[in-house]
Amino acid sequence: MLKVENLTKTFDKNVAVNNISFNASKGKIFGLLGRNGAGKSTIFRCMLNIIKQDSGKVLYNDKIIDEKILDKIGYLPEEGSLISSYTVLDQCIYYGMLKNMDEESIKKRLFELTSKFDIIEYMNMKQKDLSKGNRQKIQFIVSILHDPELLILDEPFSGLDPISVEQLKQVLLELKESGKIIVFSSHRMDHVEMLCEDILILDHGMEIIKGNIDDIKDSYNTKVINLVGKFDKNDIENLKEDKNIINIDKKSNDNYVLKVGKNLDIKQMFSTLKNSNITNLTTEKISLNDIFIDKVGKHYE
Amino acid sequence: MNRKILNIIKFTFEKDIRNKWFIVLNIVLFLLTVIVLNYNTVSTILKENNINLSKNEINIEVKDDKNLYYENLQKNLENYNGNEKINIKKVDDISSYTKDNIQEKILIEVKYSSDEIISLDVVSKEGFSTKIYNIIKNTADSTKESIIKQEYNISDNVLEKLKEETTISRTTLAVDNKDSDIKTIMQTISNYLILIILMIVLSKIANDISQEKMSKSIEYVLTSISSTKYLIAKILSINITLIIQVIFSVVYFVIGTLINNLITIIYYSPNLRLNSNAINGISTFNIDSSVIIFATIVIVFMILTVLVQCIIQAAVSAKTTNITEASNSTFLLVVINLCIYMVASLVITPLKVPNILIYILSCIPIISMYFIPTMLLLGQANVIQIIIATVLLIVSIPILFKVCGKIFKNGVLDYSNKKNKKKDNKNISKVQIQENIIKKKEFTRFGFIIGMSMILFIVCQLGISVILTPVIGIFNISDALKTQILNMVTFVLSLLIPSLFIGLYINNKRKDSKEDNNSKNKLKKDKQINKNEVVGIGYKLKYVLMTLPIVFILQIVLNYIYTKLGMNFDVLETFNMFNSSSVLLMILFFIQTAILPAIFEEYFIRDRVLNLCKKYGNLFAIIFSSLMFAILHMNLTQGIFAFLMGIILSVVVIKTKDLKTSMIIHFLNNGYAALTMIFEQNMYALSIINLVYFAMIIIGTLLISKELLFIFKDKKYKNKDKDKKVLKEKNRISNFVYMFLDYPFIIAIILSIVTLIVMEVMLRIL
Repeated sequence: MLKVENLTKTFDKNVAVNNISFNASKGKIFGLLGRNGAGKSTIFRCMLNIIKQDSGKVLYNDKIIDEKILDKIGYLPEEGSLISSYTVLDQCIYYGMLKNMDEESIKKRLFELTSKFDIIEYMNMKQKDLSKGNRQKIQFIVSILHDPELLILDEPFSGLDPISVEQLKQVLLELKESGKIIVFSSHRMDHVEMLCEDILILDHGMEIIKGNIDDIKDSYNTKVINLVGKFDKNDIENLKEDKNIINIDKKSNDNYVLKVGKNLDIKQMFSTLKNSNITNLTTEKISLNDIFIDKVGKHYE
Repeated sequence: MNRKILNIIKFTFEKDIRNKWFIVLNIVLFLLTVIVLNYNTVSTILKENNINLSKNEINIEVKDDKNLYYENLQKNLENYNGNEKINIKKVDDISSYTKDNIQEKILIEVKYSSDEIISLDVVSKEGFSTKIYNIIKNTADSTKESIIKQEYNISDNVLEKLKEETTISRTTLAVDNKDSDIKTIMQTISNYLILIILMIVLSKIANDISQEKMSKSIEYVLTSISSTKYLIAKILSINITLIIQVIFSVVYFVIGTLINNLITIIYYSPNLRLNSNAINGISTFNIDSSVIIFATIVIVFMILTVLVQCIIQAAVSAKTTNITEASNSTFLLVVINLCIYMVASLVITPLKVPNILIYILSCIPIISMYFIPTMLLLGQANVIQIIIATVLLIVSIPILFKVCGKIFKNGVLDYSNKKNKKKDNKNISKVQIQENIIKKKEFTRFGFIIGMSMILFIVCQLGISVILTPVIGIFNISDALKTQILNMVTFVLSLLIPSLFIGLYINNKRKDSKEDNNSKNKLKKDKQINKNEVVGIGYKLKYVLMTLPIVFILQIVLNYIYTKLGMNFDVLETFNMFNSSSVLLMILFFIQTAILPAIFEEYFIRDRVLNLCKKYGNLFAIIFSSLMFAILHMNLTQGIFAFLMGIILSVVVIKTKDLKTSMIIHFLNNGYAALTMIFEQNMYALSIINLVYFAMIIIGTLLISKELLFIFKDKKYKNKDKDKKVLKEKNRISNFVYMFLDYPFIIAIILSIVTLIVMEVMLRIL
């Protein structure tokens, strides 16, 4: 159980993180969302004792994080955080030793993990000769080398191709199954939507939304209705007069996507569309992307 | 010890030692040691083999009228036991030999005179061995002696006594004489050794840390280990690498000596016992206990001092942003060490009893490394002092680890970036803040440009004459002409080079500013037409004439003030060369004093510097360029006049936007002074010159009075414009202090002040 309580950090009067609290528990993935410079990395650095927070606490199993606990944490910093002149193997031995591992077990684990990501052939290449995506994979491997209980990942998906993203997702889900606590940050909503149970949306160091991802979507007042069929032009014009319909998006001549409020009367909508022939109707919850743009955008204004 | 620390040490030093450059270095070192140690043995063996094959012959030919020297030389050379065979011959004439036909000969001409008694002229194609030279010289001495003996009737005994040197036996009571030789050697070696060690270790640390900082890998590291522990591990591992290097070197030495022994055995006699003196030589020394104590103290201080400096280096290099900066910081630390070493060798002398300040200084970490061994050697150190120094060093290490660990962490993670200090002022927008920062940077750059151009100017002034003096010496012209030409060339080059340098920075912008000027000119033209002023040559000429009376009045006033203060006032430097009234010289003088300054000084100051300063506002540009103009003169009395003159000239240039106007004014002013000096005797010419000059001044005065009337009329109109401008300029200049942050500028200021003082002093003395 990881607890962050009222975390605040300022840099020269510039508030980077403002009174943030959240919990992450075993077998769940926690997502930290925000624009560039929202304070995600700062929160991680405070959690890892790299920098000291001005106020607030970070507790792991009700203990303040010290060096012993740090050994149980795996951390994936921003990209490009490895020594470029070392080979992958040297790199892993160096960082593994820093986590009190011995050389043999490091090698064993490295073989296991590189074969999982299909990069076993790069093991004796230098970091600088690898492509960006492969470097990111190596970094991820380094962070989980010592089988940590708590995994903190800063933008783990950056620079990865779709197949690698899938591989990484798979590994993350496996880790989740085995009872690890995983916290990661991203600005890619689709990844967060697919992986996380709990999220926290940040902007300028302030908490905007926090909670279970489904609860957030439910509590959100808008839904999306996807209509397929043959439409009469007048019907669509009439639909626009309905106050509960926020937005009408024309995908094609026979496909319209409506963004609607909670109080929409479906019957009335159908009666407005009496001249049209609707063949298919699906409703979706609003996507996290929309919530994010909506909330963070509002915050800006 | 912590296991992680051990792990890092193990990993890092293994990595370092198996690094390919380390291996290359060691192979080279190994080969060098072996070659150096065996070179002598091998070469003597080879020589002994070849000795009979090529025995050199040397022919000595002596021209000796009295035959005394020749006989002695013949006698002495019989005992010569060198490799060469020597033939000696007496000849009557040796002057026929030249470089090409002398061959392997040594020619000696003996001269006898009453003053010197005997003197030799020795001629040879190349140098010859000192053995032969010594024989030649000793023979000369003995010949001289025998001549003196005969001439003055002096007996051998008296001569011996005269030749004897006075003996001075010297003892210094404070110095422990017995082992001081070994100690002195150890002390000097330790001083050089620590500098070398520091250079190696510090640069390695700087390199490593800046590399890790750049690759951001430090973030991984710091999530597993505290920064202080990491520092300890890093520093220890690098020092271990160094120790291993030392061990390797010792191994090479041993291998080299062993090979040496092997060669000797094989060559000379297989039965000879292995000569192990080279290896065991050290242990056969009779080392006194005091030497051992001295050595241990030195070594302890060395190790601790290296550690302390490593920590400091780590913290400093964490603050730097790239490898170049990091290596510069190493250089800085080493230079500081060198300075302390120099101070130590200056302050601590056997003749002076050290005062309390030196005792206190010698206890401070780092400084103690250089002070204590020297003081110990001179017997000036005491036990308490050494103990305090050691304790302070030891205590400082953990404190430094703590403090520097924090600095290291902050620096290496780069989170304590200097953000804008003027945060509290919320009225300033983000754009303005950034603009201000850029302005500050621009000013430091401006300081760099100005400073560099000043340095170039002064160095050219001093350097070009040094370089050109021998070059001009080739031409067959009179001395006065030489100095005249030298002065002119130096003058032109020393102004041209800095103006070219500044040109690098304003050339690109010039086109834009010209366009700007054009548009401004149009506006101005409109205004000027309104004021009924003539645009173009007439307008410029008016300005030229108007400044003349002002300059004239200025000269009179300054002359009055200077004479009151008891100083000399000359517009030009006085020359005493007019005794030789050569026409060419006079023309050159006129060119040097009137035409060259008018062109080159004006180009440098009024075009380059003024243009460079213009973007910070006209007022700043005028004052600053005038200051530069004053400094150019390298003379206090001239400088003040030059400053005021500079203000007038730059105003004129800014007003007329034409360099020619100021060139003409400068020319007229200097030319008048030069002409009056040239035609000092010729009353007729002098009166004409004066007449023309004063006529111009009168016209100028009339023009000024006319202009003043206009100004009074337009006063209200002008004031409004000015207020706005002044405000803007104030805003711009407020940051000019940042100019002084750039080090070329600081050096330039120091250099110009020093040169000024030197010039002033030289003038007084001459």
